[in-house]
Amino acid sequence: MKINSIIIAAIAIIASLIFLVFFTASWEMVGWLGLWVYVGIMIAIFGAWIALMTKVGIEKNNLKTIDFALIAMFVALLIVVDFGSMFVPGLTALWLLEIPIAGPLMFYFPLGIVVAAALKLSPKPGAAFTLLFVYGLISQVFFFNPVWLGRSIIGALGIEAYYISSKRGKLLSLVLMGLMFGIMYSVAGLIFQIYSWGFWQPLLITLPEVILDGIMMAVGCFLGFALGDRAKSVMY
Amino acid sequence: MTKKTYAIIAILTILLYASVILYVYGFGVPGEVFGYLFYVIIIVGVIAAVWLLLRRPKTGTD
Repeated sequence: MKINSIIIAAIAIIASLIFLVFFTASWEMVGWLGLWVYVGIMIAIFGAWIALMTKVGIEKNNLKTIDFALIAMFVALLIVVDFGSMFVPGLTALWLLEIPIAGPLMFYFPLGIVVAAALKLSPKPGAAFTLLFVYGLISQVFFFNPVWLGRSIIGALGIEAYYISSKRGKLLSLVLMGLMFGIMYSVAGLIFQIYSWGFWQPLLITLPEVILDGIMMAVGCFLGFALGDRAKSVMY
Repeated sequence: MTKKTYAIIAILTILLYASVILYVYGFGVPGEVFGYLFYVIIIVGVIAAVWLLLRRPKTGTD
């Protein structure tokens, strides 16, 4: 595992947790400006990291037609993941529980499988960003709220910043990616929920939830890697 | 990559979006019914796609 990938994963996780604590305590005080400052800081961190990595040098391996075709299919799968109850009708009841297990089980676990399988099949620079950004755009068709595009951009840049610094397509790097992305994307979701839905939750609920999201996504990535590996041996 | 691979990917993509659209909008029928129905179709589609890919002749380098 590359040291760069561990550094960016640590930065993403620590920054996300700091922002979660900050917004839980003082979102009313900072108002909407606080949200946009958060989006700006996260984009700046990941943008700067990608720029730095590009300077250091990444292999030239452009996305081809098959990569775009695969990404389109995996985006469709991600949209299916959004509707978790499609898998097991009635499972939506989990959202009503006080213990936050619905998100990790119904969203982050399958999300890990899909993202890891996609990135195993197409381990090229740009694939991770395209996958998450197109997913964010298509999601707008089903849940129209342009404010949430900020979260999509943070997620897409964050995963790309990690992915170009890691050993692409390797098991351990994909599992760490799951942990990092699960926590980062979950925190972004919780912060955006406060602003766009007024849905504030105490740290007692959100902290275990984001950590569980990260762990379940890492487990999902483990399975996704195996699936992607098998699919790759069949397809290529 | 053969044209068959692209065709399978395209069919799967269309199937997945069709399932979501029917699930969300339902067309007057409770969404979960369509969701469940198309979930079964997706599983059958995925198994069919994997089977088609597996039985593809292993010649050519495209």
